[in-house]
Amino acid sequence: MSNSERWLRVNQPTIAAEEIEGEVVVVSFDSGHYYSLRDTAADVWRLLDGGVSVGTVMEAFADGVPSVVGAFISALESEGLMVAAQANGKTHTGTIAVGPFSDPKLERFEEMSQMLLYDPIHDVDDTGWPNLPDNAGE
Amino acid sequence: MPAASPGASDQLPAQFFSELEEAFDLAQTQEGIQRVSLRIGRRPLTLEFAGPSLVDLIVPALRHRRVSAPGPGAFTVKVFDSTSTSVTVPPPPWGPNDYLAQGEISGFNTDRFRTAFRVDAGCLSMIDLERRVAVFWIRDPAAFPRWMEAAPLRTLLGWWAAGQGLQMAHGAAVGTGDAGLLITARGGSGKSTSALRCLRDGLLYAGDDYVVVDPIARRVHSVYCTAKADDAAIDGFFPDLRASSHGRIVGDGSNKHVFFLDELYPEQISDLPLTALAVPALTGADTSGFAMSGAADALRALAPTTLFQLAGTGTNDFRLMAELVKTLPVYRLEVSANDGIAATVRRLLETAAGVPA
Repeated sequence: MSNSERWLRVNQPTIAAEEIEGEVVVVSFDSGHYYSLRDTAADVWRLLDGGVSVGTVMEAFADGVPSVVGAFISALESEGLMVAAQANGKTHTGTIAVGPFSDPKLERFEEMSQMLLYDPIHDVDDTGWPNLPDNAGE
Repeated sequence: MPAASPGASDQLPAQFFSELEEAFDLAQTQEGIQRVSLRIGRRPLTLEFAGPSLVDLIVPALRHRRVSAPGPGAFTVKVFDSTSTSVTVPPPPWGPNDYLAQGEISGFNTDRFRTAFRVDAGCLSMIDLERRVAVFWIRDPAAFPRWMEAAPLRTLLGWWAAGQGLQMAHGAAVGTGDAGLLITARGGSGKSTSALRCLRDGLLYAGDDYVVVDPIARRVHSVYCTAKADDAAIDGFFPDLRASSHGRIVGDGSNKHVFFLDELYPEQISDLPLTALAVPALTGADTSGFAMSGAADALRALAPTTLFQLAGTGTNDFRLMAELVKTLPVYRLEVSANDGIAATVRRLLETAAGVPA
């Protein structure tokens, strides 16, 4: 399938995104990572989220390098932030409003991911509830 | 960990919740019932304890919210344990692989129900948002952790708040009668110590770790009258407080002491208007200061630490926090150990009062 016939969508409900002051803040409820997208990265996110095809987004930046935009879009997919959407048939023939091109960056913050770590349940008591670790209640 | 699985069936959660309530009823029949009426943000809550064993572990941190009589339509939280009552709860109708992050139980978090189990304390929190009833069960009160005494029923109160259009936020809040500052950042950023320093210098105090925010009314509601401080903070700022410590938190790496501030500063524990947000940064400079910052900075500071610290949060909470940071002036609060941070916070709040919404 060519990029001009490929669309992406935000991978809800495990991914949530909010745009504030031109910055897109993305949270992954699965990994505990959160992300900051600014400038061209935010433009790309906004266009994809708005139903513009991958191919059109790659060509949207007059002074941009389509392969660089394409690599960034691939990163969005490999991080699980966006996933394939059903074809919406939209074609964009006019000019798409974007800011000046800059290398799109996916800034990732990982410090909260440890909050999502949990111990597998190995042992339950005779009522079926997980046993307390030895240091519980200290 | 989105809060609820849309469209998930309520049948199994409803059946299990009913069995939990039956266990509570049996326990309170045997041990007697104690009711404690609370009011948080003008919303009434009633805690019902089956027997006395958990009262002194849960009520002290909430006692500044006590009222003499339950309000109409109060939300009810039923609290009991198995060790002191000899009443067992039914076995969990889920499997060992259904325990998720923050103790959420797969398949038991629906639009109507929320369910989480903390293995470290052996306690279950479950809420029925439709019937406005919740159950907190702990196997053995002896396993009730000290950190939980500083913020008891945190999971349930977070769910309750969300059901009221409020938001439990991971942050400290201080202010004056006219203005309030929500200081938000992940743990270890100095917000607890800063909040306690502000309190000691005369500011009002809504909390040092968890507060409930009303995004529409723009108010911060105090939930817990506690504060936590480690040895370095006590030695550096509050040496006289050491004698008032109610013990240390162990097991979470913080080793902090817990203080009940309603005993020490009863006039200063208060709800606050919410007029500004700050992201703290510790600085080695001689003086504290502040600088305007961006809403996105505030969202990155507030949302992840709140979302990933509390069970059952999700997209709606994130959206609500995004709306909140868009409507408030945001500052970077540079915290020095060498001057009075309260004076800086007062100046910040005065400055924020002149910033158009």
